[in-house]
Amino acid sequence: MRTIALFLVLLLAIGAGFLHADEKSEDAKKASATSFELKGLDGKTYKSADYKDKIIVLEWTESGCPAVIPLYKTKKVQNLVTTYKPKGVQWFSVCSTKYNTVDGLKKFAKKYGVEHKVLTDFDGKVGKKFGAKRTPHCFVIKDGKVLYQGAFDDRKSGENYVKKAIDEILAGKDVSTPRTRPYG
Amino acid sequence: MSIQSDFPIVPPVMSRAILALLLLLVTPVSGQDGILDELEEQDPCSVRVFSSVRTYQPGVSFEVGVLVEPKPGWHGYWHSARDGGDAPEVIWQLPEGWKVSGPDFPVPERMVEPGDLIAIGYKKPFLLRYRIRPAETEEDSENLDVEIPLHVTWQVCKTTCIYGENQATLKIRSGEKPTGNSEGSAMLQRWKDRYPVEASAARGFLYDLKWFPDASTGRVRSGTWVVCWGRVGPRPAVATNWFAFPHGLKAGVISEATVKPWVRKAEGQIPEVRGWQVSFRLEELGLDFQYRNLSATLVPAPGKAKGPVPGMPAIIVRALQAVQFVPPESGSGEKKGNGR
Repeated sequence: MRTIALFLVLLLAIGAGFLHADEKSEDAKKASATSFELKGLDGKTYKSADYKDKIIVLEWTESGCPAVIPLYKTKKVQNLVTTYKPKGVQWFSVCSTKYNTVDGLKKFAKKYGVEHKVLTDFDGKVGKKFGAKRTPHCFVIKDGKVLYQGAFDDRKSGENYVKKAIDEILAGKDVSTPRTRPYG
Repeated sequence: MSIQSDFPIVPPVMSRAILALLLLLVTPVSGQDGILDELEEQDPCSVRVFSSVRTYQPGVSFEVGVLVEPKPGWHGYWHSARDGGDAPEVIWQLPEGWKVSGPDFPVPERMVEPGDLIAIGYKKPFLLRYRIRPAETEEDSENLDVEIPLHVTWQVCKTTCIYGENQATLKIRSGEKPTGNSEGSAMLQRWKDRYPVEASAARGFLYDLKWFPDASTGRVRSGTWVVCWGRVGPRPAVATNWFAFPHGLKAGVISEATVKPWVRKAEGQIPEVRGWQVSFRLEELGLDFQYRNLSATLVPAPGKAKGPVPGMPAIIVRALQAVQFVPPESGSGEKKGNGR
């Protein structure tokens, strides 16, 4: 009887080990799906692995896009970056437009007073990996998981989905609107 | 309703720029010249307005169509365009007491854009239909000339996407009785069969709508919506395939789905029904998701061809309405809620 009990305990332990391993591998998969390594306009390489403890925002952008420009003209993006930087939010704009250039993006950044990092993905590999389809198209990532993806805001009501998601993550809540349809 | 406020993202008239992501994931373009050539193209879309009446009667509704005309090679978008762009929007500056309802979007088609993006929209000009109801009473209303300005924003794409806007004016006159506008009526008549009808108005169809939420400890964040429908009354002479276009969600994503055969066993007075079914998968739903807000447009097509099938209208099904069966006979149709 004692042998059987020990055997059962052993089985349970092995099972739990497998489950734990599965969870780990699932987490690793998710983290890998949200990992990136891209060059900034300063020539430095920025890796997601270096911002493990932060909330990362990837905001796909294009300097010539009529849906992006008003967000920068009115400083909606820049203000959000400034507000949340002290709260541990790392914001990256990503440009995956194959015909854009570092110089073109530098001009854009200068014109609109962009101080956060703008990353170049001109071959579109990271854009494709994330499924970025429009500009702006935003992804809010925490612990390797995309917790929000979609539009920067609701263009009619002005509700800012990215801000809402960040606030909820910082408050330890579930993201109430995890996905919206990006416009642009 | 389509009375909108302002659209801060819309650039000045005919300003244009590239929407890069449509291009970024495709085979390299032949060089920057190609893109610039596209951008050089002037006015890729125009707008015209048509009224069913020349003279309106106070309090009596009339139809208006706004024709959005992308240039050949360019396309515009349905209200639920999936990966595609934004549908046109019309802002009416109506006189006090007037009301507008709509728009009705004609049946769209599925397109694959560069980068394998799935877009639902229109490769040809399309007419948005509205219904305008003038105020009941107007002082000195007879022979009053009325000009209604409308502001239309649109997005059209070719290999690049462009936002733009147009102004137009609807000119009508008040009178004791409505008088027709032959050009406007002809245009609206030409488009009449291209609008889907509400399920409650598609006579002779039986519906079965089911929602299967995924197991969840908290709020439902995913599930499957199964829509089944069949024709109980006389069948059309041509074989019919169907396409199903889900309407967009405010928060979350709803899948595309292929229409499959469906058989419903005879029950009571309703004989066996051989129809169609489609299962939409819903993921990443917002906390405020409500099943009752789901809707989709079901579009019949004869064989592989596209277009209206005699006796088979395109149908809008709404989970909210929960229509189960609308008898084929016209007149006071019996409607049964399915209790979901």
